[in-house]
Amino acid sequence: MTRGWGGPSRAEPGRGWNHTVASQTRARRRTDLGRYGRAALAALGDLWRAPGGKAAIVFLAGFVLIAILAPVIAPYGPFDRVRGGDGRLDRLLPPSLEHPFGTTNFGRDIFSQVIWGTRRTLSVGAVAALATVVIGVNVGLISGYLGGKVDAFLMRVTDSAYAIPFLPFAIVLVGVLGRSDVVLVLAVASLFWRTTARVVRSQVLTLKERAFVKAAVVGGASRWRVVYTHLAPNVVSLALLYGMLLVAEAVLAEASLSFLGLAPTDSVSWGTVMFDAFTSQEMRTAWWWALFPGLAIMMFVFAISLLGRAYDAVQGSRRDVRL
Amino acid sequence: MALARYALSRLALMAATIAVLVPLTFLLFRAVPGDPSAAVIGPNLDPAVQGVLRERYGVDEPLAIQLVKYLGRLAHGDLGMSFQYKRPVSEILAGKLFNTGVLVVPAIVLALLLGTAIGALTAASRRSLLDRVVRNAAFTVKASPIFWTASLAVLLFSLRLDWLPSVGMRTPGQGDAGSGLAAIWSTDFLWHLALPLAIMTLFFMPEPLLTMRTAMKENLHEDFIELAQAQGLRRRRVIYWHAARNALLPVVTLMPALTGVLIGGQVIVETVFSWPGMGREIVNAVNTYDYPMMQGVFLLTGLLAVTVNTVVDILYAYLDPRVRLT
Amino acid sequence: MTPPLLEVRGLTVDFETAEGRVQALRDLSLTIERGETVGLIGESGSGKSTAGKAILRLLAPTARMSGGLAFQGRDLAAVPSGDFRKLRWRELAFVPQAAMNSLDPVHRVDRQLMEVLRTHQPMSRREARRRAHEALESVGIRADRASDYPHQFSGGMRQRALIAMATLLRPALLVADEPTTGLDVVVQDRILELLEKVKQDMGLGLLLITHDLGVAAELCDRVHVLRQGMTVESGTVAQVFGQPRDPYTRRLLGNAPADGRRPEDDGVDGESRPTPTRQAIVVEDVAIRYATGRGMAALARRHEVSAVDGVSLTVHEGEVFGLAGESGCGKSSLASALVGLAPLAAGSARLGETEIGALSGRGWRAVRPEIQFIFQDPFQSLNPRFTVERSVAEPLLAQTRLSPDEVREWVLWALDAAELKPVDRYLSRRPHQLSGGERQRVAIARALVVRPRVLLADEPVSMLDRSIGRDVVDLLRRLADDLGVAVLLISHDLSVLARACDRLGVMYLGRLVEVGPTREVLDHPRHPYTHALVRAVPSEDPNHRRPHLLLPGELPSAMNRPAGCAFHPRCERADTDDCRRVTPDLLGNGHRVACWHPHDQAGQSILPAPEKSTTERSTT
Repeated sequence: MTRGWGGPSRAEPGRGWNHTVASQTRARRRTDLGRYGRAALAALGDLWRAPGGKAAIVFLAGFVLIAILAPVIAPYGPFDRVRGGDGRLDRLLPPSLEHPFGTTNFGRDIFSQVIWGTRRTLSVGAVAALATVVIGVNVGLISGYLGGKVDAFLMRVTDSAYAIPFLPFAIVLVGVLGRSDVVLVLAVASLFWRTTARVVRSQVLTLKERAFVKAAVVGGASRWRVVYTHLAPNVVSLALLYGMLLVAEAVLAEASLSFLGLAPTDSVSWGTVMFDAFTSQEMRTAWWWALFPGLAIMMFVFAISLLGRAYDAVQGSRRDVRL
Repeated sequence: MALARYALSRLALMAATIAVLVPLTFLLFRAVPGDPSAAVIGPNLDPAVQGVLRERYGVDEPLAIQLVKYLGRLAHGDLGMSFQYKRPVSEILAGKLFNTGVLVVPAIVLALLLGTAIGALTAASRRSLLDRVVRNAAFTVKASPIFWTASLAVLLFSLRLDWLPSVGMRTPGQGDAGSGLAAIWSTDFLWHLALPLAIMTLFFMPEPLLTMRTAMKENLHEDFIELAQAQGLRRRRVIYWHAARNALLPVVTLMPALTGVLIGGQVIVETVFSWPGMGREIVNAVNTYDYPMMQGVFLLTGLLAVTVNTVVDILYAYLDPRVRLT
Repeated sequence: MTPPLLEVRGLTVDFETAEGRVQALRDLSLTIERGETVGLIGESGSGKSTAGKAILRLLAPTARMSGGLAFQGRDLAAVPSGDFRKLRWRELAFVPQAAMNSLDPVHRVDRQLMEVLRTHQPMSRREARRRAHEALESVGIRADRASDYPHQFSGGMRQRALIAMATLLRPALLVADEPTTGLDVVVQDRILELLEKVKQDMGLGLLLITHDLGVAAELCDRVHVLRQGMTVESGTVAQVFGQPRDPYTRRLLGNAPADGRRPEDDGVDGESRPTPTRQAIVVEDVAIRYATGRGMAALARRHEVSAVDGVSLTVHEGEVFGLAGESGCGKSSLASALVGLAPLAAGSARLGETEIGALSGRGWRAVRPEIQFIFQDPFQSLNPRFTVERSVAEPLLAQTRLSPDEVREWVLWALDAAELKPVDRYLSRRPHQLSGGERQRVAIARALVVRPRVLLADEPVSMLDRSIGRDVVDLLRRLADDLGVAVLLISHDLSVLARACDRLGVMYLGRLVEVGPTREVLDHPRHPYTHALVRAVPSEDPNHRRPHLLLPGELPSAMNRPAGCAFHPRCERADTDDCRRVTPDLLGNGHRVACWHPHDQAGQSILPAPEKSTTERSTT
């Protein structure tokens, strides 16, 4: 019976390693990115298999396709004024085969406007959501894992962000910075990260108590390694979900600001079409004008909420916190 | 005892949040690119007049001094003069706050009561069809932009059917039925209130409803529910004394996040129905570049939100004995 | 002839799941008479809890049940749900596991008892309150605690409250589902005594569901051994425990070295094993404190709780040192501090030549490979997103610049050392594809891969089935023998410690009260607390009836630790001022004890003669 260590003989790890603490190599960082990607794909796969998930994903993919193929699908340009056979403007026509969603008082085809509007609405929503999630996830990870004073400070900032109601804030921001999509993204990103941060933080607080995180610490991982190699992949699916929910939130926010006349009007979005309808003074007759863009918003947001429900079904979880 | 101590610690936390919020508000308005007073002090004005105006609005001094002075004025309830109305902001807002309150307070109370009740009922119901219908209806309401719903409602009930008025708090010229609380009880006012109140209630309801429903469904799987069943308690008793009581906790947790939604909804509804409240005032202020007004409304809504959050925290501790001790 | 109290005939339960039908219980038959205790024994997944729920009609709607259930000759299946509700609690009552969740967290405990009373018998609130308090009093919960909320109760108190609740209406049949799981032995002892007492007082029939053979042997008249839903053996306790016929029962019993005694066939008691010389870790006079309260309160010093105080111990290379004690005694805090997960408030801890008490974060990382940790919960200790290979490789990736080939070589070696064979079958698996025992072995491999000097294992087998846990403990023993690694094994289970440890330390409220060679401490405990602890372990020998010890009082919380010897309020020997005022030091040579009135060193063994273990421990 031999005592002592066996094992491969070429290297001599163990007690001899103390002075060779290595920094992360680039190759290893790449595998982390791969890990996030795989986690995201796995989360999507789970959603796909969950009840209602397939419908929601197909539906949302349809919206994205419409946005991409807008020039092909839309019969007219967003600001084209359509004239009838007799050369007169087709003003305020109710929905028909030719104009499925009707026309405006300037003779614009509302169907085409909604199709073109999908582009701006979705891209503003997606950009805003991405920026928000990146901020929220990082605040949540750092606050949750480091704890102590950092956590106390970040949570105070988060509380303050909760104290600021979104719409007045966005209105004021437009008031001081002017009307643009950038301001809209800024408004969404500078407040809505709060929910993602809180949710991720509480997830991290649970994960942190899990033995595998402690095991990573005991195994000699640095703080950043613990956060971005061990913790982050485990919050990817959560981040994905909140990203989706935030797209919905941003679309609603854009619509609200448009309705208040605080969005740029040089291109169409679902919101601006409705704004035109409300300011036209023609609502009494032209009921179809605001109806269809509103329905588009409703269907889009509903599809995202279906995704949220699918996520809950997968995780068996409950999400109390709202945006 | 423990509850009182907990309440005190929450109040201290509230003070800390306000201490962050107030300077943040100030900076938001002062540290923006360009001079906010530029709206009033046009660049074409005589430089001397510009100087006088700058001095009058106190924007010629360093930011730090401005902040200190601002805090000093704030301590006396002075929110500055409105550019537009040429009257103190605090005076104007006091009236608007009242108008907003008579719409939003009943709406939130109704929404919470109806929402939790319907949520509890559908969760406990064995009819899955009812449950599914209610759930999808709630998600549909949640997915619709409130201004759209409100406008369609106006279109239907006011313009087409002509049942309810579409604008304002009272019919002009119908005699100002006194002021303050007395005015609220006039039928004319209630008639005006009906549609915006219904829209607001509908708008707030999905959140408490869905949260209550989910929490109830989860609670029904808890061990203590199983034990209560084994003890031969009546089903109604198990559901309401155990499950619903516990499900209220997440509904309360939801409240802070709901405050923001609530205020946003209020802005829209006031705009749609031309309701002379704070929400309409802030949109108005942006359109007329009335910075002191914007700042005042913004600060007030912020303080409101912080207060609600604190009250909710304390309420939570009251409802959940576990929170008080830790 | 009167029909039996409960008769179960051919009870079979299936569950509809997404993967199809799963049979949880097959063809269970048993009878219970009044005044009789029948045990259902089995490991996890044996269907024993399903059987209990089927009798109480508490199965989920997805369950399908067949077979006969007759209560006092009445066919239970024919009872409509309205009438069944009346049977519940008046005739059929239930004691669930001592989990926090069995009492409604938002209602006061006495209110919950009153609710039950008033449901079944019309009575005034005052009358209900009086009876609720009376019932709580009878299980040792004083009136001033009766109106507390459940979270203010200790685990033992909650369990006693649940028993008070179950016996409120003097039912005919009591189903107790793992009534002592998760409780410390001393507390468990009290619960067992209480169950025995209510059974006798009320003459009720008791169906006891448990995985703990000792508990079953002590309480039951007859037992049924279940395995994967099937009854493998049944009979009187004497038959089943004395002459088990089924191999599974024999294995279950063989797993359990009787009475916390380690088998004597291994000769590790200092004779054949070379006496270890090199000290691996030396802990001197260590104290650990935690801040309590939140926010500002946490900053004030008076809110500090002392979790560990004045603990000194040494573990040598190749030695397994056991640390025993009830939950809250500070053994886990000590372990966390030794791997740098919590700071030391005082004292020193040396790892080889390095003082680790004062290390900074960066300094810690340098000594990390020297000391590794094995966690309690094998389901949480592996990153769910990592494969086995990546999990084990992670410490090497984090700390060294080894080439991928070298890393792989070491990973293979570590998995081999943790006896996960064949190794290549495991490499690409993820945690959810592994059993609890396999996960724990992966965790051990991950600890071994850096070739540590010291291995800390905090309750490594408490969440595993006994037979699997035994193998893991034996593996730790072999690692100490073969690799010369020092193992600090923490467990509340004396039989686990007895199995592997050379020396044993017993902690009470943050202090070591007794240290010595394992055999000596267990056979001749000198501290009254160790004495109580050892005697509270249920005996699996049905012929040996152990008196219930009933250590009085509750375990005090670390926040208000009694002055002097912390054990004195519960100690029958405490009579002098010294006990109440002066904290005793750990004194003695080899077998040391911190007590003013210890039991005699040469005191008589309080345990019955050891049995030969039926399984041979593999020698190395």
